[in-house]
Amino acid sequence: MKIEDVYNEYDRMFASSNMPFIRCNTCAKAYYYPRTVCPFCGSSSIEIIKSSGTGEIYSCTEFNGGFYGIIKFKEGFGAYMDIEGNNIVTGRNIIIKFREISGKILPYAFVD
Amino acid sequence: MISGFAEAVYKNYDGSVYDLMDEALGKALEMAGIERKDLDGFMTTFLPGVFDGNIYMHFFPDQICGYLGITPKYIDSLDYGGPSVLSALWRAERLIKEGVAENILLLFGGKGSDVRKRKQTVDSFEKLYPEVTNTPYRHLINLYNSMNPVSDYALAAERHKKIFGSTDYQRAELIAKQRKNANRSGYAMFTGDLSPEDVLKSSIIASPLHLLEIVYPVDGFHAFIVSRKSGKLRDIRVQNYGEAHQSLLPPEVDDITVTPAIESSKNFRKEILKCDFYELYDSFSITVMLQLENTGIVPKGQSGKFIEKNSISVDGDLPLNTGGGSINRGQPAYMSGSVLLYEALLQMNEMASGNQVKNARKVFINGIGGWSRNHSVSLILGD
Ligand SMILES: [Zn+2]
Repeated sequence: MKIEDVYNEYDRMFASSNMPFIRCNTCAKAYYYPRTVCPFCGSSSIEIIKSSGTGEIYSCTEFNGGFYGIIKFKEGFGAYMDIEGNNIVTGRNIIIKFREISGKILPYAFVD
Repeated sequence: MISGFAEAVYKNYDGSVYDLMDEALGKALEMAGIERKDLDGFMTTFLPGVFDGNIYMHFFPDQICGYLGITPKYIDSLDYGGPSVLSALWRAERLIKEGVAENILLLFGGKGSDVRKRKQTVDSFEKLYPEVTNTPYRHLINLYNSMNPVSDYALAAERHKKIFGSTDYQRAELIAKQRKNANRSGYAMFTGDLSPEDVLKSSIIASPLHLLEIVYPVDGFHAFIVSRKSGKLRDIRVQNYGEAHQSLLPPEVDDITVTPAIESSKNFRKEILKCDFYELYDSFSITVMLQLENTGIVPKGQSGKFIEKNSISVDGDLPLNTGGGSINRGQPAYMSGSVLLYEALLQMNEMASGNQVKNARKVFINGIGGWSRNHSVSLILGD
């Protein structure tokens, strides 16, 4: 797999409102930021799979007129996300939604 | 050994970055009692935007040497932000011991105001150049609300509050206590009475961080000359050293209150506790707190309570950021490492006048770098 293949697959999944992540077939760890080699164990046996799109706010900050934070997903990976919704505080559960940001369809976290 | 050291720091410097570096170098050469032609080693760093606004400079160290009239046998550029200068000191000492060079110039700084005035940081400077992407993660990071050291350290402060129960007031107390040190130091940029309440009244930039808990980027250079002989200065050198780098992103680590300072300091924890004073990287209030915990000075999660109970003044129980830190000196070109080292050298050479630590024999310095705390350098300077 090449890095461009990962981005293309991510973009395809975003376009169909699915949250992708990468699972390492060797150490079973999950991660989100695209690398074709597992950053935890160095294996290149990885696959892109679909996340449940649910998780919780690990930490968040109100900044530049919006909320932003680290989301820890059910499958064990973490990602920076913009956060929307009511009562945005650390520890709250989120679901992933999608919207266009500067011409790209991207996920963001939503607190119900 | 350091034979000369100097700073040239301004809130807003009107001239070119080249004049500014020349000023720092001239003063350091004078202290060392040597001339430009005696410099045969050169170590520096480049951060986007701080060299008269340039995002990049072609063959940067060569251009600087050419301008300053230095013909080095050895050139190095260390690009991991704030603690780079501390690594440069350790490396320079070793190079001199190996006979590679006699007098190595460490020249670190730039014009932070060039970036600040465009409402960016060195980490977000690429936003002014839409065709440039500074990370392999592209839009997955840079299109969101913000990828910025302020918001990232805010996440660390928020997590520390949540897990350990540290408070906004405790962080504000640290800032107020550092201000007291600044008021006595005689060379801080920001002085005057400042209470924890004042800190909490300043605007929240990225919750929970307030304006006055965030370092202010300024213009400035520090020049340190590392030589075979210390000249007029005290004969001090690096006694213990560790550097550590980690490459995972904050969302990918289990605990964002853990920094590589744990690793960089782990081989000499007992020695750290025996130091006479401490200079810890203070890009933000929370940065100091994380280092207090990560280097074993304070148990994990206890830095807030520690700050409440202890004095950090030169006659207190833990003299810390004795010059007031870069929070009060200003942060030259988005890097505080030189501010820490400069203050440590003033103290160790009995040159700290109004704020001198008595019998300053050993200092622990810790630097943290990268927008997301990916780099740490720990060192003890002493006889
Ligand atoms: Zn793996």
